[in-house]
Amino acid sequence: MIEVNHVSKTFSKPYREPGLAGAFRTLFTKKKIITKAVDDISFKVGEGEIVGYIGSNGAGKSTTIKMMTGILTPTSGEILIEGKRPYDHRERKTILQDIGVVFGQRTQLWWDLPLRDSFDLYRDIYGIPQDEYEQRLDYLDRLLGLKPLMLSQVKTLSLGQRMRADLAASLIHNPKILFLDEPTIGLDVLVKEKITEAIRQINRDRHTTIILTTHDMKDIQNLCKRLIIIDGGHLLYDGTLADIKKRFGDIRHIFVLSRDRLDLDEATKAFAGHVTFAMLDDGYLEASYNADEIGADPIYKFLLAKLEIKDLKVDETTLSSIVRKIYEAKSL
Amino acid sequence: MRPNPFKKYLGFVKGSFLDVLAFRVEILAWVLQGVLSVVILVFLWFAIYQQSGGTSINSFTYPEMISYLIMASLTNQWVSNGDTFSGVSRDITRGDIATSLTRPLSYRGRYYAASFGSLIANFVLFFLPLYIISQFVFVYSLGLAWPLWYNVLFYLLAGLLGMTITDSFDFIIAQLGFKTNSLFGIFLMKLALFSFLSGAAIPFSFFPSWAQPWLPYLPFSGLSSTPINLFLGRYSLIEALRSLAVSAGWALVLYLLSSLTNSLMIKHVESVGG
Repeated sequence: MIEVNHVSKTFSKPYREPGLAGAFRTLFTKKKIITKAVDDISFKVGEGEIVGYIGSNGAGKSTTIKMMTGILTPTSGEILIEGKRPYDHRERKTILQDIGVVFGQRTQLWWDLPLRDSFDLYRDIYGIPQDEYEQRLDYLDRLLGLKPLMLSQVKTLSLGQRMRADLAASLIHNPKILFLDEPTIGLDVLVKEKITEAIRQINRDRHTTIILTTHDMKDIQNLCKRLIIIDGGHLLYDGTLADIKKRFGDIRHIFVLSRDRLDLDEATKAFAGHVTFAMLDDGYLEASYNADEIGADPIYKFLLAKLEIKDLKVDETTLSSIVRKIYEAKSL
Repeated sequence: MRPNPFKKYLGFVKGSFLDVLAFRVEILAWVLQGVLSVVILVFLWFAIYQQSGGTSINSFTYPEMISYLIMASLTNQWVSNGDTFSGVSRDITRGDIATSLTRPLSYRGRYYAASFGSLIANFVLFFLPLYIISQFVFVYSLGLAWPLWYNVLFYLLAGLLGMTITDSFDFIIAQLGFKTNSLFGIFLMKLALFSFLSGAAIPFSFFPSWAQPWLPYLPFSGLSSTPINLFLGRYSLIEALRSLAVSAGWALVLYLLSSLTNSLMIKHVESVGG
């Protein structure tokens, strides 16, 4: 379905020196800064998969998505969507009927007109027959609750409403592949849930292949079985969500709120390094341990003996804690 | 299922038509400003004609001059009122050109279709009512004749070609947004230059004698001078056909040129991003 073969993308920007004299000097220099946004990335995505594509800011996620949707041409390597290159002028035309794209920070709706007009426009662009169009609108309305918005001008919609509408607009032509670039950015919890639920439903109903970039690990946990992590343009990880959790161990976290102080070094020594202690900014003490190595019982006993505890929380490994570790270490 | 290649652009014609309706208050203010400047011009030229003593200046009698200026203002209303310039420059600064590439249609064609939609809206909403009032003024107050049907037809055709010319110019100029941040200044320069060289400000016969022979052959004449002279019946049939051919030639050349810069721009976007 989607094949990415040794793809790299470099950007060259004119070199600009800071300051007035620098700006003046810039006018007469041909120096350029070359940045490698994506460096030799390869992966394959099969039909009906939901793949989370994650990385820190500037890791090269959006650049990859843009290349897959044909907005950018790779500097080297090749991307094939159903055997065709999306960035090739001639081949693109046949692919565009099969892909839908949402950029969370942009809208593809007609700003000053009622929402319904934007959908009608896409009906005409993709040549969808009227009865089929109505059916699809009904389906998308059930998923995303569009009916009450249809008569509102797009510019009067809230971000959450607009995002639901944008997602629907990218699905109106029944694409086989859906690219979502940060679809939940800036949305509240309820809208996020609605959107992730809709994405999951579409994947189930229509077997749509979905590539999703996000900074919200909850989105990934809710949606994706497979995860691709990139950093600094390099591919760091490509595998299942379960695998990555296994690789990092079954890490649990205990959070304790107390007025008493704990000697962190001494505490760490007491468990021979199997438990790491850290003071968090919100005043909680965090004790993290690998549940495969040590049970919870001795840790609780230790803490209860040392501290007068006002509050206690337990958390299992979150994807975000793993991802934070990966971003910090820049490797797996 | 192959979508009808024209039907998909029809959506943009309709959309921008509705867009104009959505902004009716703003445009009404714009029209009032146009009416006001026409009133000022009428008084200005009244004074000029009184001072000059003769009945005609540079082959224009006072009623002809007034009808020319009013028609210039009205023609501007529907021919040169598209949203292409601001639309394309907005797409460039916001980086929306990139997203438009993910939909199966031509970026240039989409803007041309949208301009056509606003042309129809502007024609029906503003040109037509104002024109009907003006026509009564021409006949009953200035003593001019009713326009001939084929002159009206020529006028409409010339206006359509004029729209293609401005729209292509706007599309090409807006792409300078990739090179400069002072697009608004360029836009104002363009407006001034166009209103002067198109004959919207004053008829070509008021220009220096060395300029008069070649002004009608520039693309700008297609925006005002050609359609207005056709409407007022100031051209012989040969002149009419020749001026329409000039406009059609420029419309074609500039549209093709804008399509070329469009594909260059898209290549640029594809290699360095929006």
